[in-house]
Amino acid sequence: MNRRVFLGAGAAAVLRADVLPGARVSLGVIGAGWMGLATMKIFMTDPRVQVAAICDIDADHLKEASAAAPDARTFHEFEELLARPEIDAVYAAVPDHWHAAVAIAAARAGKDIYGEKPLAHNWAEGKAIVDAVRRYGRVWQTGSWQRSLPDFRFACELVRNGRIGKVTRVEVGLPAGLTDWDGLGRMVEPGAPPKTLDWQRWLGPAPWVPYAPARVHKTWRWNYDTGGGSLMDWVGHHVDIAHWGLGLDSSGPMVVEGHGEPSTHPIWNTSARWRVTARYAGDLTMVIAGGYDDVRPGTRWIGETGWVWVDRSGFETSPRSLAGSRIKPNELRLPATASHHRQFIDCVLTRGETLTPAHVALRSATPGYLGNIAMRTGRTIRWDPDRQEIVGDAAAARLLSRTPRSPWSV
Amino acid sequence: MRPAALALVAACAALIGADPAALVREVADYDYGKDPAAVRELESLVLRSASGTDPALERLLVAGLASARTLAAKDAFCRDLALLGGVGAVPPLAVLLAAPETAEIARYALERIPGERSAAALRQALGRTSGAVKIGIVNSLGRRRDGASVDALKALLVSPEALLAAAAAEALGRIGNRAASEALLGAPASFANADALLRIAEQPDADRSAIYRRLVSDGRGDAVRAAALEGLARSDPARALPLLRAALESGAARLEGVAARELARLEGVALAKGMTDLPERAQVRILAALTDAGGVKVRPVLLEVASGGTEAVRAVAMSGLAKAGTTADIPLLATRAATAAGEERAAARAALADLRADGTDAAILQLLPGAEPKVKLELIRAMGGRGITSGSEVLLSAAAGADRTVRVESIRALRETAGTAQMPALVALLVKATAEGERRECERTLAAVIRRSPETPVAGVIEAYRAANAPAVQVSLLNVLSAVGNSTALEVVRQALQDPAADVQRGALNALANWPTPDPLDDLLALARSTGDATRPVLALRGYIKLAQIPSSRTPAATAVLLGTAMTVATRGEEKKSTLAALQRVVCPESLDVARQSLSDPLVAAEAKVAVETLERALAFVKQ
Repeated sequence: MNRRVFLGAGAAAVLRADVLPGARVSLGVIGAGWMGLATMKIFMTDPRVQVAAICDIDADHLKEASAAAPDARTFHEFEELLARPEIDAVYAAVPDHWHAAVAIAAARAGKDIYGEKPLAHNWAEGKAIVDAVRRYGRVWQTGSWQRSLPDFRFACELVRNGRIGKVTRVEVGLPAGLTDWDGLGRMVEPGAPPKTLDWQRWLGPAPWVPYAPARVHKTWRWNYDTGGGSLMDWVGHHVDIAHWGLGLDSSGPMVVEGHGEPSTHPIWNTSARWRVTARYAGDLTMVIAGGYDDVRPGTRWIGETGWVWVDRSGFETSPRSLAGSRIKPNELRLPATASHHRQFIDCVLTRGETLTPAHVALRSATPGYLGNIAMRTGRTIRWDPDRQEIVGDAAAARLLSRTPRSPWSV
Repeated sequence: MRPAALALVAACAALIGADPAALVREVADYDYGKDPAAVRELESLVLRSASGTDPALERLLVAGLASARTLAAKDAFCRDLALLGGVGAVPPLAVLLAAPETAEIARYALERIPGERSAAALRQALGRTSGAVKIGIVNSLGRRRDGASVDALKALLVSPEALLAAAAAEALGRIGNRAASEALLGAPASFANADALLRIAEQPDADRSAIYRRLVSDGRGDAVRAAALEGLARSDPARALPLLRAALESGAARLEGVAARELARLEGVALAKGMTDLPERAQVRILAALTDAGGVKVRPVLLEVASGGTEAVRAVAMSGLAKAGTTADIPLLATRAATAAGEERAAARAALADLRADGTDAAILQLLPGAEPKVKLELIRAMGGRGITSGSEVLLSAAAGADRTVRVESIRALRETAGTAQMPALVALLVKATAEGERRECERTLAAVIRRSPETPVAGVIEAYRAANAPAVQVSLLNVLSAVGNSTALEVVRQALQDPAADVQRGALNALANWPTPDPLDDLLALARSTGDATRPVLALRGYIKLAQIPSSRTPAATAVLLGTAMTVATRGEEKKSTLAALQRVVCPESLDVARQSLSDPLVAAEAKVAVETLERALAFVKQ
């Protein structure tokens, strides 16, 4: 048994006995926009955390975040923040296309990292993060925080302990559509970026394109240059939970098929409605769908003797009595944590392993990466989960990575 | 282009309904801000080209690149060639690589075209370029692991341009052959060189020990030194040991952590000798590392420090005993759980609940009768935490005892251990309970036991309800039925709405309002529309709004209808606001309609505006 399972096993296992009293973590926040600011405030509720530095290439974001953490130093570029020796750990909430460059630089600088999901823009960049985190012995927590909620953990424990028999099918329902949160979707004409936004820096490793409001904050998710659509936006939540419930943190699918309806938006080119089918060893099929009524939002494991469904809005089982059963000490118990963010801080202080380390996040995201490749190529993708490579399709394999814009290299 | 080849491309294009030559002509005129349909269609054609080496399509793309009139068009063709390009695409891409404005887009394609010709094009451009273009080419040669470029990259290690020198180091690290390693070891120490060497050390044929020793002594920072120290411990333990010992007392947190973990792995419990002379932080790290690495062998060490040391050290010892302890340690853990403070107490409790040693459950049961009151409480708590079903009868006895604290703790523990066999006794405990808090605990335990049973047996609860005279007991039993929430229970609660006792009626209404399924929605709506008692409709409507939000197989539109009904029934601002808040989570046009209808309602105009805006945003996705 590894340390993670051992320390997290019990009813009162939120405790980390090897966290020294009075220990503090100096946190740097890289990216203080939508997710960044909200999560920074969550970290600030932990008395062990001092937000010591914030960086953003949008001056408006930086100003707002600085008002929330007035003692923090502010920076324009993350390299300046990472060079500060007093920073122990960073929270990185940057668009997907920046994940790898920031995370790898942070690992090299000896900082522990809480990074948002999905792990990276593409599979190869995710693997590069995994390698850098391992190479430098860094603590990594992915923002797949559903693993820290009791309903999700209990659902997974029921499945892992065979309460519904052999699982043959998992249905994962994700939000569909290309949501236009701030009404910028119609602003697609190329133009000059606002003076508060460093557009070249925002693009970073992504290919150069001219500025347009529809490309940037929040809706960057809907263009393959910078995101991976709703599939990749949510794969780190419900597919991550599906894998956790099946003990697939070190494995993956063998065959992936996918179909996505093409977008007609001038900039947003990810699919708004899609369906991916992933087949795993042991006659297990996972269906991941967005926009299909037959797949309920959340994660539903279907076994030979029943099913378990969990989502942020609830938890249900069949038979219903399963919901009242309990997991005994001699059964497999998944780590219980009081808070995803606090568990990260615990691990920074103890060098323990988090609930969602980078290598697990890569496995959770892989069905999404392969699903998008299957959708875009229209082909069945064969994947070797041990070697982690596409089999027999060199053209599809090119889509596992991409060339970063100079001078970036990940 | 040969007719046969064109026919093949046309066949591929036909699959997505496109004429490839026409598409290429359209893309050649594309510019940013224009309709990208042709660009996307051509990309789709390329992506769906099954082999990935389609010479005919490649020739079309190359021709398109030559005729491209804008940077956007060239970018589009280069992106396609990055997916499908072969040797035929190299010459035109090499031309673009030489021009600063197109060098990047050409490189994206050249880097990904396999074979020597594309590599040679990149190498040849190295000497003719500068700045960001040159750095990009260096990066690409590294990503291709191009061994032929080692000499050129070696020369760049001493470039006065720091970014270029760092890029060269990283590229050599990626190439990772002996020549690259020697180039890096021979260059002046820098962070980039160290990072590249760490990467090379992971290669199967690398001289790991030499690289790691070099980096431990000259690693440019604790992050590199810690990584190298761990690598050395894994690859050359004998040479690593003295360095690990020194690191353990270095005062550098990163090095200490690695040292404790690796020494625990290499030396086992011998590491604990003299540990108490070390700082608290090092002791904690050593104990945690030994527990991870040492298993049961670490138990004597844990017991020794459990009787001394600081609170943090004792707490780690308690945690460690959960894994390494035996049944003989239960008295110690229970005593500490009862008498210690803070983290030590919490760690002892967690360890009692988690102790993995065989026979733990039986040992706890054996210790219970003779235990001191405070220790007894901890043992009872552990019985619940461990779910010791064989102890349920013992717990029932304790739950009927004289000590109130023991009674409450036992009832809580029964929540995790009891089965249907204990139900009559649990019902009796509830009926007899005189204190409200104790009765509440009984309610929760009964409900948990019934829910856990596949048959959801509520007959005993219903029987007790019908036999009870005291309204407080009747209400408590209705709460149990509500928590169970099956159809049999629902009928009883419906009947209770007609009970002559006002408290029972009110209890029945609360039971319906807290029902775990949407089944009583119609009952609650009828009560919400009733007249007479002023509070009853309000409580019923609140329950209705709550139950309408419970996940179900109903469509969002149907839920919106339910919430729309709530809006028409509600007369107070509070319930209307709750309904509008609920509507925002039911994203469908029907919810938006309901929210819009409230815009003119002075009680909730502001909330309606927020709901409308939220729903409009959520619904504003691109329709396909």
